[in-house]
Amino acid sequence: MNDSLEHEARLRGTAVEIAGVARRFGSAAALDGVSLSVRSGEFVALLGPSGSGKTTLLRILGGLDHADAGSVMIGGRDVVGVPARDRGIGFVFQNYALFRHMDVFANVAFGLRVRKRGRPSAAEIAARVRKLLALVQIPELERRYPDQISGGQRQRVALARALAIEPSLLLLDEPFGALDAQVRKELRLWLRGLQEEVGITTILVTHDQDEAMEVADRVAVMRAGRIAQFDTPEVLLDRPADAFVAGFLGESNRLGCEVRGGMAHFAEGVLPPLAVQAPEGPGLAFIRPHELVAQARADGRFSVRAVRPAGPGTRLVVSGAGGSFDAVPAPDAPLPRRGDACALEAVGVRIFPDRD
Amino acid sequence: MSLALPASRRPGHSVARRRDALPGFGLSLGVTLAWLSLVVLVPLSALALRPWELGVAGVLGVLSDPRVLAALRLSFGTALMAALLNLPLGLLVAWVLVRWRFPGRRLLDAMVDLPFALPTAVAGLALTALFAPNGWLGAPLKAIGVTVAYTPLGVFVAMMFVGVPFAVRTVEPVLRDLGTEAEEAAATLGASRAQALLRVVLPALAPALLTGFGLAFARAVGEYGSVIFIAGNRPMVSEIAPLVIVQRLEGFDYAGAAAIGLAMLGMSFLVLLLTGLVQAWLRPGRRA
Repeated sequence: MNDSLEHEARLRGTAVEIAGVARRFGSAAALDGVSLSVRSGEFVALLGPSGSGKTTLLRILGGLDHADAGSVMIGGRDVVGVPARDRGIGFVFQNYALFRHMDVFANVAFGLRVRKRGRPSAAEIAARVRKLLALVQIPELERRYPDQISGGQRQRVALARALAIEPSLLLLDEPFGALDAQVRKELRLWLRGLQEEVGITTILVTHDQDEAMEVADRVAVMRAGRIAQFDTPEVLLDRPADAFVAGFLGESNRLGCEVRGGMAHFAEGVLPPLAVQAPEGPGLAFIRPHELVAQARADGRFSVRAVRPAGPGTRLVVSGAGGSFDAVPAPDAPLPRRGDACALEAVGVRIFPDRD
Repeated sequence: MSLALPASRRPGHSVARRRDALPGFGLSLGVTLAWLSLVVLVPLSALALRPWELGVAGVLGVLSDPRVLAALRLSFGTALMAALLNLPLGLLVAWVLVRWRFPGRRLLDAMVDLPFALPTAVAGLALTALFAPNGWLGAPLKAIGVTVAYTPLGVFVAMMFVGVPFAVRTVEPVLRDLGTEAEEAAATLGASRAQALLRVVLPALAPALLTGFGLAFARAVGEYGSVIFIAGNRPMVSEIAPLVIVQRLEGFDYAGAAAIGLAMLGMSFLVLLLTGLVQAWLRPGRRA
């Protein structure tokens, strides 16, 4: 890409400020008062189950849909009512939406060729397209058509096409959804590297939590048209805001309990009572597998069902009264074997009031 | 044997057994070829052979008859124009059917197929009644000096009418398949509505539009029933080629009729061949 200062400044990425955005489709609320503030140059993931409104939010940012209420500011400019073509935002669609009758070169050049004012000369366009194709590492595919290249390559073309217009904000809708696991892992790390190199503010929509946690600076967990929690991956895992986030992110053993006098008493006495800081009354406890330690004991109330040895990451499945749990073996003890009796001890827990 | 190719392409597949995952290729190809020969090839060969009993000079004589030439010119010229005009109109109807939900959409959808279903003579009579100098549309048109019935313009109207379903039905599935994403992508890249339409949507629809053009043209050229009533059939002015053929047949001039038929066949084939060539040229990846 061109090295001018002005260009650098534009690529530096803008901040995004969303406040109270609502959107209804018929009687169903797709977005129900969403507020989100994304810093300049940040990589944010919108994560949630299908139907949580994440794609609708992205489309509203891109100008492909409108909000019924609320405000959307991009780079300090109110964009409500600004059509997509005047926003200068890069958008990568779920199925790439490449122009099938154009070769890769023409696809990437499209945004420059349709420019009404300040359209670069053909030579400049060619130079810029080649630079972009080099940036996304597919310079050799210039003359191929979308039907003739692989899914991962199409993804790179879609990205190059979106970057060609020098957007200050990049929006990605499930960009890796149609790829197989190996390519997906490779591409998302590469995308993160590219984003850092270009410095562009990026918002990615995904339902894959590994993807969101690995790639994003901060993750907005969405549920039923609202943002349940917006924070860094570490905070989301360590201090989830509610039962939904605790259950949605990472693996957890879920247990019913009763909090009385600062102690959590588990249903059927599955675990010994635990001192916790949680509101009194019925609660829902989330215990991550690494926080549940199984100690081999002849008089234990549980038995080991499966062992998955992986060094420090060794995991056990134990079962007994109250169901079956994912746990880890006690350190400094020989690895239990299938069928061994054991006792469970929780070393960490998050408890939320059970409102049901 | 016909199964050798798919079987040999599959590694680890026993060549001796020559069994495909989808059996019946040999049988279905055999039936298809036999049926096509019987229904299409044999009659067409008869048509191709018959005229030559007049000798080359005789065939040329029939085809250089000014009345025959005028009829061929009218048939092909008008059919081409009708098919061309049907393209934008068919695209518009398909667009409305695919992109919008409105009350009466299903009714409109069903109406598109009516020219298919209606007996052609009925269509012809209806059009004639409508466009006759005293008809609902004919009278006001006459007032502004336009005569449709019994003129080449009437032929054009009838040919448009029969071509509508072809133009609509070939574009419709492709348009539906195209979806709105490509247009949205164009918009995010800064394209105006017109640019998105001209650079993204129309090129994607071009092959289907060409097919629709070819089909509408073929139907219009061969159309008889709905055209002859409104055409008025004045020799040298509004007489179509199929009618000239029928007149020859009524005069027991079978070879002469076949000669005109052969000329029509050749010209139609040429138009469809050209359409196919343009289509192949448009296909992505074939130009590189």
